[in-house]
Amino acid sequence: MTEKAATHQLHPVAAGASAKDRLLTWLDFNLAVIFNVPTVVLLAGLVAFPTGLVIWTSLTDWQLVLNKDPNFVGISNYVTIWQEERWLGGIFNTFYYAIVSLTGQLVLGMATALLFNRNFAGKSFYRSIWMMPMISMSVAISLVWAIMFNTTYGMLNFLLSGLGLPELAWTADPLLVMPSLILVGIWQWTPFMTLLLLAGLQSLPTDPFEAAKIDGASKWRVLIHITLPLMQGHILVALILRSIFAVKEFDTIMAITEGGPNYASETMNMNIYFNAFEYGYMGVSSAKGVIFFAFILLIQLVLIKLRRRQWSH
Amino acid sequence: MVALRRLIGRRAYRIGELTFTHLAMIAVVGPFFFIFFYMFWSSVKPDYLFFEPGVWIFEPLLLNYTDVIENSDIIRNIVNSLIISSFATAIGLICGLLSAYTIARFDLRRLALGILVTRMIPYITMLVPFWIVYKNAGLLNTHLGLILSHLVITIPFGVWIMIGFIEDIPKELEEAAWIDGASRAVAFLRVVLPLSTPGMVATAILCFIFSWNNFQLALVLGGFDVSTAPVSVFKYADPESGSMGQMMAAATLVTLPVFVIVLFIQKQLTAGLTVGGIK
Repeated sequence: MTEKAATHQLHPVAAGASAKDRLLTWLDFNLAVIFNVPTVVLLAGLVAFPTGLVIWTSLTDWQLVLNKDPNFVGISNYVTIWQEERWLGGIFNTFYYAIVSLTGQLVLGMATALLFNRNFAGKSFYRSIWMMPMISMSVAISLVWAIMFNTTYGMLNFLLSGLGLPELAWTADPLLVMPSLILVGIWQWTPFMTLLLLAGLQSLPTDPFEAAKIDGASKWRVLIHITLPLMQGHILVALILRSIFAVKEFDTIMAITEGGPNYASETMNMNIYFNAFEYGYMGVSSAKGVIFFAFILLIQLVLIKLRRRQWSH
Repeated sequence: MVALRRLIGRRAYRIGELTFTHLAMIAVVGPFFFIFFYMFWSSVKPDYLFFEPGVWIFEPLLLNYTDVIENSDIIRNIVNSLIISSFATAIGLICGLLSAYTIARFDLRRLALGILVTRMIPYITMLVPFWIVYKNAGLLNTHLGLILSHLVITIPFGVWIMIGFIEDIPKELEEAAWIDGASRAVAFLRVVLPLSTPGMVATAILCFIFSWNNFQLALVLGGFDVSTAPVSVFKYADPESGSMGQMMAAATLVTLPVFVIVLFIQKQLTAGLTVGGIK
C-alpha cells in the first residue's frame, strides 16, 4: 500500500520546502497507518487483549469464592464441560433458537421484501413502522411480550379463549417456551431481514424480468424460476449476517424467562453469564466462552464457503 | 390478469391493485405494530383494570409514569445512557471514518477482515476478562469503564458502515483536488469529509441506537452508581418491583426516543443498515 500512496504523491518535497509542506508530505506517505492508529489501538486493547486473557483464564480452575488463587489446570475445563447436562442443553437451545427463528425470519422477510419492492404511495410510512421492532430496546419490548404471554391476564390467551381454542401456558411450559421466544425473535428481527433482502431485490438485473414479461410468464412462475434463484446470494449474505446475532441472543430470553422454566430456555450465552457472574466459575465460563466463539466462527466459515461455491458456478 | 384488466377497465384495476397493496401492508405491519400500541396503552391503564385484557376503553392515567420516575433509578440511568452512548458513538464515528477511508481507498482487506472478526466475538466471551481487568483497575461501576466497553460495539460497526458510504464518494473528486495541489490529507478534509456527512449522520444514529439498546455489557460491568437504561428497565421484569402498568411505562419511556428518530430519518437509517449489512 505504500506503493499506492507513493503514486498519489503529486508534489515531492523540494529542497527548501517549509516545515508545513514537509509535515503534509510525511502525512500523505503514512496516511494508511496514521488514520488507523485510533481504531487499531482501541480494538487491540478492548478486543485482542481480552481475547488473549480469556484463553489464559480458561486454562485455570479460578472460582471467585472457593478458589480465589487460580491454578493452571491445562485443558481440563474444555474436557469437563461436555459432561455438564445443563451446558449441553444450552447448546441445543442455542441452535434450536437460531435455526428456527432464522428460517421464520427468512420466509417472512422474503415475503415482505417482495411486498415492499412494489411502488405505491405511503411506502416510507409503512417502512418506518416496519423498522421499529429492530430499532427498539430488546429489554423493553421483552417486558411487553412477557405480559402478552402471561397465562392469566395475557393477550395471547385472551385471544385464544376468545376464538374458543384451549389456552396455552406459553413461557411457563418447558416445551412451548422456546417456540414462544422464537416468536419474539421473529417479530423483532424479520424487519432486518426484509431490509437486507429488499436491497438485494433492488439490485437484481432487469433483463430476465423483461424477458419473462414478453414471454407472458405468470407472477408466480417469475418468483419461483427467476427471482428466487437470482436472490440465492443475497439470501446467504443475509443469513451470514443474521446468524451471528441469532446465536448470540441474550436480552429477550433473559428478560422474558431468565432461562426458565428449569433451564428449558437457557442458551449458551446465558449459561456462561450465570456461571461466571452469578456462581463465580470464571475458569469454566472462560472455556465455555471460547467454545461459544468457536461455534460462531464455524457457522460463519460454513456459510461463507457455501456462498463462495455458489459464486463460482 | 390482462383479461381481468380488460373486463373491469384500467382505472378500476389500478384502484383494486392499490387497495390490495395497502390491505396487505396493513395486514403485515399491523400485528407488528400492535405490540407497541399495547405497550403504550397498557402504560396508561388504571391498575384495577389490569386483569381485564379485553378492556380497551378507559380514561388514560399518567400515574404509572410518575411512579416509575419517582421510585426507580430510570431517569438517572437514562442520563447515564445518554452520556455513555454519546461518547462511545463519537469515538466510534471518528475511528470509523478514518479507518473506513483507508480501507476503501487503499484496499486494506486484512484490516477489514480483522474488524469483521471482532464483530463476531460474543460480548459474553469478552466479559470475563473485562470484568477481571475492570475489577483490578477500579473501572467497574464507572462511566469511563462503560464507555470503553461500548466502544466494542461502536468502533467495528462504525468502520463497517462507513466503508460503504466512503466507497460511494467518487474518487475523481479527490483526484481533482490533488491536481489542484492539495495533499492527500487536505483533500480528505476538504472533499471527503463534507461529502461523507450524510453517511456519518446515519452511522452515528445507528451506533447510538445499538449502544443505547445494549443490555449485557452494563448488566455485568455497571453497578449501583452507574448503569444504563436497559438495566433499569430489566429490574421491572421482576414482578415484585412494580405493577404491570409501571413495567409498561418504563418500557415506553426508553422506546419513545428511538421511535422519534426512526420516524424522522427512516431513509438514512435504511441506507446505513443495508450498506452495513451487505458490503
